[in-house]
Amino acid sequence: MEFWIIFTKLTLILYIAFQSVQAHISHISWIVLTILLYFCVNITVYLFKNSIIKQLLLILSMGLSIWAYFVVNPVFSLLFPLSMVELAAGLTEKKWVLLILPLVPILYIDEMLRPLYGLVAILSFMIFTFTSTYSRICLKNEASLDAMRKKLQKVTKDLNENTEYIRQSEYTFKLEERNRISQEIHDKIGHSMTGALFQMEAAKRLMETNQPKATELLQNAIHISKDGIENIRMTLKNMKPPTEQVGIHRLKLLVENFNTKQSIKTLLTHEGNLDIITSIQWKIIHENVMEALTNAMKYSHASQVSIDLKVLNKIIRIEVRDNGAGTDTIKKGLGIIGMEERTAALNGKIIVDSSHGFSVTTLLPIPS
Amino acid sequence: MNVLEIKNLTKKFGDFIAVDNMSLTVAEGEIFGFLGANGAGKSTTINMIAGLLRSNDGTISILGKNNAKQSRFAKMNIGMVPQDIAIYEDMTAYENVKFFAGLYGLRGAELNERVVEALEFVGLQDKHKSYPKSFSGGMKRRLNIACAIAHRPKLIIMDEPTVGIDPQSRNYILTSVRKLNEMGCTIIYTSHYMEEVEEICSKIAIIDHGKIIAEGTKEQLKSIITNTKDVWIEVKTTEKVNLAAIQDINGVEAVSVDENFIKINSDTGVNNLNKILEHFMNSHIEIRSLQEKAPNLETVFLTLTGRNLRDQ
Amino acid sequence: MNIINMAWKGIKTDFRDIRTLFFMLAFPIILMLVLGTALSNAFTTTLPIDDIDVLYKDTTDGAALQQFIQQADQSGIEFKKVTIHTDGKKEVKQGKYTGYVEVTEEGVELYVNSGDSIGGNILQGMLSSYVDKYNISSEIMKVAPDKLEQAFSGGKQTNFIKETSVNPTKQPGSMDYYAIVITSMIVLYGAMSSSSLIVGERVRKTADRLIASPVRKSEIFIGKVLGSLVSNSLCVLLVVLFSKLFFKANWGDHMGLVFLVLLAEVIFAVSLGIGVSFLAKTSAAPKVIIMLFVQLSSFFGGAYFKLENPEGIFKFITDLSPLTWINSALTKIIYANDFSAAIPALTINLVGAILFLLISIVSLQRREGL
Repeated sequence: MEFWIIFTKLTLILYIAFQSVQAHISHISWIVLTILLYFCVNITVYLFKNSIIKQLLLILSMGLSIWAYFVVNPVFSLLFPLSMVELAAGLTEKKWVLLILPLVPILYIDEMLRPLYGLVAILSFMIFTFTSTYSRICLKNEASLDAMRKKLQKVTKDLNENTEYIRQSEYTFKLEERNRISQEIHDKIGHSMTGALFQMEAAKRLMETNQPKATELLQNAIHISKDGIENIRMTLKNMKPPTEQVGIHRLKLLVENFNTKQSIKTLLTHEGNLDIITSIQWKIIHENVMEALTNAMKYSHASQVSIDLKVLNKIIRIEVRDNGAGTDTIKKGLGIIGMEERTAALNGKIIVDSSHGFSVTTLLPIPS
Repeated sequence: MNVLEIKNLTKKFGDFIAVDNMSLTVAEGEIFGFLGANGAGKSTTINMIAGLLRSNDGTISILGKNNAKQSRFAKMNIGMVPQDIAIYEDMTAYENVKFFAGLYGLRGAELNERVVEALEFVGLQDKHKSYPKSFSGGMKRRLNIACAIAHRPKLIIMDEPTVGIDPQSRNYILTSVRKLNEMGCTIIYTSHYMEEVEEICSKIAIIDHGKIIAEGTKEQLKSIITNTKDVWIEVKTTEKVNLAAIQDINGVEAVSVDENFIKINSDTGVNNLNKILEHFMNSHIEIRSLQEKAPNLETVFLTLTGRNLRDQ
Repeated sequence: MNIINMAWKGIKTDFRDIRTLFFMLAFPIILMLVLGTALSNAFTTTLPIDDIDVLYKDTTDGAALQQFIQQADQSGIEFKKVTIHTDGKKEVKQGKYTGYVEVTEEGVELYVNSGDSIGGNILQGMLSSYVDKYNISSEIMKVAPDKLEQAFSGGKQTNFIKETSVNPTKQPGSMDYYAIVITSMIVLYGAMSSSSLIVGERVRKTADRLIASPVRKSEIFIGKVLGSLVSNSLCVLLVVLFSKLFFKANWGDHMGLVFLVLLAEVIFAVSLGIGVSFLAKTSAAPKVIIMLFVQLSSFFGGAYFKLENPEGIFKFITDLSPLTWINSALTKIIYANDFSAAIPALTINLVGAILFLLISIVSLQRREGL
């Protein structure tokens, strides 16, 4: 911006210089002096950051041009408007002030110079306004670019951290699981196996001498082994909890909580084979339903919300629909965008419809 | 080569999002159906493909060339049959087709030839000197099509070409669509008449609220919901029916008896209706009626969106 | 090529449309005929005056007045001697008689009703010339009575008033006048048809087809404008030629310049129509706006009757009408060979045209589709 203002000032000075040379003015030295003074003052303006000093320098520059108008050459009045605009811009936001102020002197100056002065004043105003507007836009864009860059950096960092965290927790999880299994094996299966082994050893010894006792011991061993096998089965079962139960139970819990806390009545229905819903799908279903319920509570003025979960052949469909007024146009808030993003991660889709109440439908494909 | 490729297309009218991040490809030789309720975003999508609307985001490529950058190429290769009848009532059928074909750079004898060809194609050659004022709704629709095909486009877009016409004209139009397809045109066909789309389209996208919620052949779409169909056979008496034998027929998943109905749930992928009927014939059981309850696109749409196609 | 295609289509359909043809060709011709013949009086310089009845009272014994009365009678002025019962002045006041003349030895006194100024003026003029003549004769009588006969040998003066127009330049007759103003009015009506050039495509939905075709928007626009210009110009040409040949309207000796001015107006009208159609929000509004504008312009531009020398605010209003400028330019070209009169008319029309075209182009660029 400053570059263009300086450039404009230089152009004006050049014009004045040419004008003076052509007019064969005698006191050329005075003109050169004035130009130099003006030049110095105006370069200094841009060296200071302090706005008060800047304004003082601008006033000095204006004074210089007024002085030069009276004493040296009237044409120096052309330097006045741009400084005036610059000064005024520091004090007010109003555009019309910026246009009017530099035009005021036109009433007092030499009649011959008026049209030229008017032209310069208006052009000064325009150039200043354009350059300042666009430089402001530039700055704003740069700032937002910067912010975006920072955000990107942060997100990348978060991503890296998360990956690391996932790796870590995976490891911990495996470790824990291994510990649990070894503990179980040691506590239960180990004990029964050892017990069975003792019984069988004893039976082997008694086989010749006391056959009925040996048979009894063997029977014992068989019992213990059976228990052991049952234990193994139990252990394995405990290791893999039924995801279906967790999923639908969590959802039921959510609905119950909602029912007790809110005045809106909530219904949950489901059909189809819930077994094939994976835990990651359950997670998204749960989050989307929660979000949709929150939305319904906040905006719908509905008395009832229904949640319907259907497992179809190739798709899982979860619809949360309220019986409220709906809206004419759906404005995508962060909530809906969040749902969309989550769902899109599993190649799913969100349909938001507001024609009959408000409904959010999540469609998740079942991978074959 | 893909005739049409849409990537992340978005169109907003103020706050209203008409097309929401849509991606889609249409391969050569397809009759691609856009199925959706009124206001689902079908026409908006089509209008963007045809260059009538500018998109807010995303790209459209026709025959591999970006629509925005090479709009002339795209437009030369597209024939647009708009939803509303767009013809000049004060010009004859011949003049209408000639004028629009002339916009595609056709001149002289070639122009004349193509115009006659197009009019013959839609069966209006006898009426070429008549003014559309005297035409029935169906004839106007046909002229509407003729105006879009005279320049032999590779991709023909038909936006609800059968709205408000008699069944005869409708059949004529559907036949012409197939014929155009056989002649090598790729066709995009929108309708909110499920039967039409089911009948002629080789691939279908179900569009709702500016999104494609499902896409594929009609079989693929139907299989989203279920792989089975219900066959209900009404018999005079259920005494002689051997349920176990029916259960053994290939593809049959479940059989049950409900009063005089034998309800058979069967895999849609297996053609076993003949075998089932054979069983009844061989057992000398009198069949009173037979209903097949297979899912159609309407059911698919209803199940996925929770609304009827013709809901407003 | 596409431009010509578009233009040609427009021209063809314009000339096929009976309503357009009626409006642009038959309507102005009929209007010329009706207004030109019905209002022909407004343009003749003769003024029919009914018989003038005058009461008189003569207290002299001279025969001079009787002679005047006899002669005046031939001009349709009837003198009636006042009876004793009637009061001459009162009769005049009531408007039963145009004037009351009292001749005494002192002189002639005339009372007229100011309500019938024309009759009164005529009476006054005749009477004063009679009095002058009488005075002269009586002076002659005093000086040289024998010369009296000689002095009036010019015969008995019957024409007491002879009017000579002080403004002898050629003036248009009613048909000449209406041929000009109706033609220029009908050109302005061209804005009606041009307002539907683009809007019509939108309404008919053919706009979508045009945009879907590889033709550029600019080509469509230029083609449309060009077609409308040509068909409107042709209509004007036909109207002018028809009025010249059949109504013998005077279009002067500089038809080229006349057509140039009319062409400028055609351009203005077409641009006006398109510009307004782009500014208006609905598709029906432009027609109403244009109708109002054309009607007001026609009224103040003198299309229905001649507005003589408007002044003050009224002059300002008439100057706002483009028809005022065009009509005065045409009249000056035809009747005064004043070619420079064409310049303001051309300027106003072309500047207006450019303004409206710019509006159209800018809004065309901004909108999606046509």
